[in-house]
Amino acid sequence: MTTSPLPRAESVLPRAARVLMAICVLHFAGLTFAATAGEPPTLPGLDVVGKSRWTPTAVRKVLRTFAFGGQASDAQIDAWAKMTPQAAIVEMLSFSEHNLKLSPPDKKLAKEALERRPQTLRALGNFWSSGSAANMIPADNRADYARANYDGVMLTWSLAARVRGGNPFRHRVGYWETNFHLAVNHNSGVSNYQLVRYYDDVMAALGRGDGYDAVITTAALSAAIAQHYDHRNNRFYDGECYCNEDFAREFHQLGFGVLGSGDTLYHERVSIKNTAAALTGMLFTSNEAPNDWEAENVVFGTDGHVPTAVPILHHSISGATAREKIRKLATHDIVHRESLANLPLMIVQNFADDNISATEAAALRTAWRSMAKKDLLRFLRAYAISTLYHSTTRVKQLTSLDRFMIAANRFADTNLEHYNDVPEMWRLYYEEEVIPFVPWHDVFGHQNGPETAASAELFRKNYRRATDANFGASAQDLNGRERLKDWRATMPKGDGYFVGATAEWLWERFVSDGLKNFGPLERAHVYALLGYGRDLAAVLHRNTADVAVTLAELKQGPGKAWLAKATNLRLPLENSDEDIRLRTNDRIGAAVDFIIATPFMLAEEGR
Amino acid sequence: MDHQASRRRFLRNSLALATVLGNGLPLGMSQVKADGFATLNHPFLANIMLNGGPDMRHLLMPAFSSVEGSYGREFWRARVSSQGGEDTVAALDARWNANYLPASSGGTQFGILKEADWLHEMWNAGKVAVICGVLNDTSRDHELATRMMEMGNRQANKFSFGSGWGGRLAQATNSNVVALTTSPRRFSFCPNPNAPQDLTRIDNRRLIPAANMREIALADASSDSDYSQTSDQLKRGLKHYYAQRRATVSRNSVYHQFFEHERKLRELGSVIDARLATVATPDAMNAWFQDGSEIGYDVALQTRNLYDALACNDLLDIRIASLDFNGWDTHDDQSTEFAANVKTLLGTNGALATLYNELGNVDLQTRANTVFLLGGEFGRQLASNGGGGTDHGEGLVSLLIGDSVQGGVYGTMFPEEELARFAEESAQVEGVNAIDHVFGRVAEWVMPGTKTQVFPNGADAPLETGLDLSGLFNA
Repeated sequence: MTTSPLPRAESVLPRAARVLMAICVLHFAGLTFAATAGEPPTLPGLDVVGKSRWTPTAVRKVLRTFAFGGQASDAQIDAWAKMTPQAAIVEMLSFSEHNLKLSPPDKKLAKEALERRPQTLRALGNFWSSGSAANMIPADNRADYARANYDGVMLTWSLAARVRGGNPFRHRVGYWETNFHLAVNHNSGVSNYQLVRYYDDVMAALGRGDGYDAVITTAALSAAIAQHYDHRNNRFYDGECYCNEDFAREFHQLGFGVLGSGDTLYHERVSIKNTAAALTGMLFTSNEAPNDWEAENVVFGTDGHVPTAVPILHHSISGATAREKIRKLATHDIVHRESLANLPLMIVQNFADDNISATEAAALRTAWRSMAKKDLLRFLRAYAISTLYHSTTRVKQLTSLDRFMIAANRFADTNLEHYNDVPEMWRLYYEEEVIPFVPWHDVFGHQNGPETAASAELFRKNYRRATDANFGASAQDLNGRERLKDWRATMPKGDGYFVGATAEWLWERFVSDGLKNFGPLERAHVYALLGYGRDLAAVLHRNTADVAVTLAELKQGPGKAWLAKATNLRLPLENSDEDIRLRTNDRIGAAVDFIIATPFMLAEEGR
Repeated sequence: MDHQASRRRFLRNSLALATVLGNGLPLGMSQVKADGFATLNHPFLANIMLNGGPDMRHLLMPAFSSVEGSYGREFWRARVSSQGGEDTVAALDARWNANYLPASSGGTQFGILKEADWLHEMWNAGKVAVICGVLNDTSRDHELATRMMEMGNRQANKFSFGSGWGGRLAQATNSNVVALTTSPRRFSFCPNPNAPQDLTRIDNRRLIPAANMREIALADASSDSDYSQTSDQLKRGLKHYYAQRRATVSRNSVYHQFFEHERKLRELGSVIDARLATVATPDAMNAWFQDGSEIGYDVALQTRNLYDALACNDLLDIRIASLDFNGWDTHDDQSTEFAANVKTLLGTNGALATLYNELGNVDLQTRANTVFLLGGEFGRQLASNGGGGTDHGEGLVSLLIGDSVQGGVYGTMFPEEELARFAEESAQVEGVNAIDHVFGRVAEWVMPGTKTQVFPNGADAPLETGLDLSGLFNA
């Protein structure tokens, strides 16, 4: 029930006035959007993809790469594909807490109204762990999301990136910043209070449109970083630094890609030593954390801080406190020749491209260098609509987390499915051992795409997940609740629900390759599961089902005829018999299981 | 156990494997011993990457000396914070006596951290080679240094991609490399067989990923399934799909590797399962997986994997294994963290001691042919920092342990010239012996004539004057 005055006005205003008002509202919204959207999403070096290649598949690829697939409707995806890439990408990728086109509200859960709730990890964790009547998390599970619970932050983040009414792009970028770029490790003693504050402060900096040097500074000065690298107690007294230089090095190397190459002696003996000295004099205080060690605030004091300006990167870095010095230092790092060369590649490699060629690297560097103020959002937008991104040579191998998040986002049509863990995210944490904020390589980042793809063990686990019929056996969810899936909520109907159309829709929904790899063999297997509820050999080789159906069979007359027949089979999703509907939905789930076990769900190409 | 049945099953699986792997894994089927632990008949390298850059100077400290200005006094002075003591002769002498087990090589007196008592035992038995001043990278950047180390390519940059020296060694020896880590490390990435010296190209046909040797098989329906369950239909459907689709996917496609995973797991799974059904896990290793074990799960699993891989060495046709252990980036509290790690790995009841002893129980020839190579991506600085740890440096120490090793110190363990640098900012242990030479020698041991194939860029790589690595291994 809304309290807006608009519905009352609607009844009394003439139609023309309503239209005029709507135009004004849209116009105003456009102005607001433009004002917050920043610079245009184009950059020198990154040619915008032509309109003919800006298709629904291209849009889906962008969402897959930058928003864990997102929750946008098919209609919205089509709408973006009809816009210019420059206009669409501004709507698709933004740092606002809510992007309701990318992540439309869950209309089935009006009471929850996530689209109106703050999306910080702190706010979401507090809400999901609360006894609020609007909280739809099963009561038994709510305490899991509290910061006092060891897994509270990782569970909150994981859910935040999947629920409708939020902004999955924002959390994808947050994952890069806190689990790769300047990663911290919960298992190394960084508290939940520190993690939440770290994440939320970094996302707030991005949301404000801070330059990337300022964003990195925000991260670098966090309690989480000081706790992880253990420079919280570093002090400088009487010309002596009682400190380690761990983060002093990584501030430059991991934060900005500055290694000191070609200037090694100075870098080692001057820059790093003095950066360590600059990172002194911190004191932790607590807002909410119950214990001193897990305190989330940093007070930057002068006691124990190097009292003079210090030379770093051939600049005199002045400032009374660590905060002042590090802020100043970041403005030099961000324009350092090594940073200009490395940082844009580090970003793109993490998000989208495992093998950046020299030519591509040059283009990315040109784009990055062209921005007087390094604007991460503008860079990502420009890249996401570039010919570089939408290129046949671009390859990205998915991490376990990518795969799980994309599958979950593309499967669920209501937040309740996430709250009851229908996508079985537990397998990500406990089987594949990928836990947000517990990076595999500690400060050097979480599991990456190439190592995931190279792992037969992870392949085996994904295969087992699929063959356990994760999505295809729907009796109960993990909480013992009846788990009913109704694919009609998202699937286009047309003249009915047909096997062929459903198969293509599913493939595109999960794999998003424009059906490039959905050949006769994939079709036949998916058709058999959808149309007959059996595996392909059981359908076509009824008496010799252990013998595989070959591609050659499917290309010959009888095989082709069967494919044509199966394509046109109807799926009884609207049957009056509930049991038939349930089994039909399960068949669709089994088709999803099959699709996520194919290689085409484990990596992607640019085009 | 019905050994005849097991043997029949094994032979059936082996024949199937030999048939289907004709153009894949080159297996030495003629050497197959049907049941039980297979004897290893050739040199075998277990490369153990210690992530983080271990401070081997903390493991192998020079003998303390009370003589002011001597190396033994000044190095200990430079290490006061990481040794956790005061800078007094009495305090440091007490630390030396309490924490280190004495050792010597030539005229050099040094100590081995007491938690590494198995290493000390092996040293005394002449089975440990300490290779000093090993040069990998100069950036002190973990990521880049690791990349260079594993690729065996000191010209790599932060964005280089390509084969690892373990993979190239597999190619050069016409064998395979088994990756026992969760995800194969770059060390074990293999080169393109048509261009093995092109360090940028990869073809992982010779890479056997085995993160858990005892859970390697793909899910498959049981033989008596009636396929009424969706899960069984999916198992059969996917099995058929992969088998049929594989041939249509280009080797250059990013998707090809997944078809290879499926093939290897399916084909190896049943064979390895059959073999390991006849190889019991030693009790001492089983104990690692019980509550209260001091051996972490990751260390336990990889070490057991190595035991199992050796048991299947004939099936896998392997000469190289890849393992890794975390936790060596000791910027602070080094004395505690390092001791705990060392105890886990090199203590009398640690992982490698247990493995070594169990190999001795099962097959002495296998043990004699197995060598452990331990090292990190870089060394650390000479002096400890204000936080009780050490910061990144350059020259590292590689340890070779095994019956085939000619024990001793190779290279200058404690260069006297360091005396003048202890007080310098960021002074580091210098790297003077390029990995190309050091690991190239290891490659030569695995199979003579392979060094230049594995380290093609090593011709001009530095080597300490007078250092002869030819005697690293027993003749």
